[in-house]
Amino acid sequence: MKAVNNDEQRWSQLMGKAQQGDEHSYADLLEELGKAIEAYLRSRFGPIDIIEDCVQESLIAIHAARHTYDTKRLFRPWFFAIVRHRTIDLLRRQKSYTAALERNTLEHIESTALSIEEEVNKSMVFSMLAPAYRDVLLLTKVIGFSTSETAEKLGISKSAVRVRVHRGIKETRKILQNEQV
Amino acid sequence: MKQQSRVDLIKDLSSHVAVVRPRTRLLLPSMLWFIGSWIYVVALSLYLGPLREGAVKSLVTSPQFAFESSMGLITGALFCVLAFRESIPSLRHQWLVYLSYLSAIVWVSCYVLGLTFPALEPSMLGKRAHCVLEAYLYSMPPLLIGYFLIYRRYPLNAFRAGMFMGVSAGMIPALFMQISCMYDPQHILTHHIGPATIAIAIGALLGLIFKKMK
Repeated sequence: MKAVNNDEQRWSQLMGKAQQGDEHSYADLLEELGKAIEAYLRSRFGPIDIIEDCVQESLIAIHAARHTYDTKRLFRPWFFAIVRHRTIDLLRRQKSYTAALERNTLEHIESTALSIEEEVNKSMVFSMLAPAYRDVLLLTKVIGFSTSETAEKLGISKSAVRVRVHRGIKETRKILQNEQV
Repeated sequence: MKQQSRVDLIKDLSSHVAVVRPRTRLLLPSMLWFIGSWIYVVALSLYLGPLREGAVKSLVTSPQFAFESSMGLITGALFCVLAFRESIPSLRHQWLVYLSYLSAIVWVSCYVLGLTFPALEPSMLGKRAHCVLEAYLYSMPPLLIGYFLIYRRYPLNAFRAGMFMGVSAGMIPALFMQISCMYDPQHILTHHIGPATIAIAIGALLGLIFKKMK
């Protein structure tokens, strides 16, 4: 709790200085925030592929929104509101299949799928999701299967997959919003 | 996503970082927008046509009419506050959203109830020839200005912010028509409140466009 309060005060002060154009304070702040975002996402989603993308997109969003931070208000709610939003946005837009293909071959995906699934299943968000949503999000957003492949694996229609992805992301947003950070 | 390393990204973002003027005040700009929009709508309406005879007096003599009008004013103000709060991350309160929706439901319900128990005797007195068009067109400048003010901050959900701004901007002329056009709940629902829904749709559309641009 004390560490959280220390972060809160330090980040708030650094952002105050960054708003006045202090490069070093801003670089320090972004570095600390980058680590905080990474830790936050890893603890909630497990070792998913898009964490680095989320971190970088969140940092860009924080940069674009820095004029909306009021040093009289708490820093963490402002900061995590942006991180949650960017993460959900990225998760929704994520074309895992294409992205995964760029990085891996299909065989690699198949062979690593099981170990990733085990680790991700233990993460906070995925363990709280309803099984139906968890399965489709795991297959489409984490492992990287296409909608039709996911539909085939789960024995449901493609439109059902799309609906479950949509609802799963909505549910994920609720889980993230309801927790205290 | 660019394959730029985090270190490089931080270096890029922090080098020569510009001084920014915090835009964190909400009460003053939102109230200025709300009052300014009212002045604009009232002035333009009065320039283009007179008030309905006895309408202002009805606000005192008919409690139901006064209640309807007050609810409209409160709802517009609530949605204005909501729209501005939406422009700063973490300032949205769910209870305020529910309160605003409840207020809007009560306001519209007044007219639905008015179909059976009207606040005033329905009549054609004071009918404005182009009230639909007026209600719609009057709301556009406040909507555009309001959305610009919101966009200068950082609305996480630009669509929702635009929608809230559309409700607030659309309600101002819709409510003013209450005293400047004929009184008939059915006419109010179709000719005054109806066009306000177009403002909501345009507000949401603006949100989508700005989201793409950002």
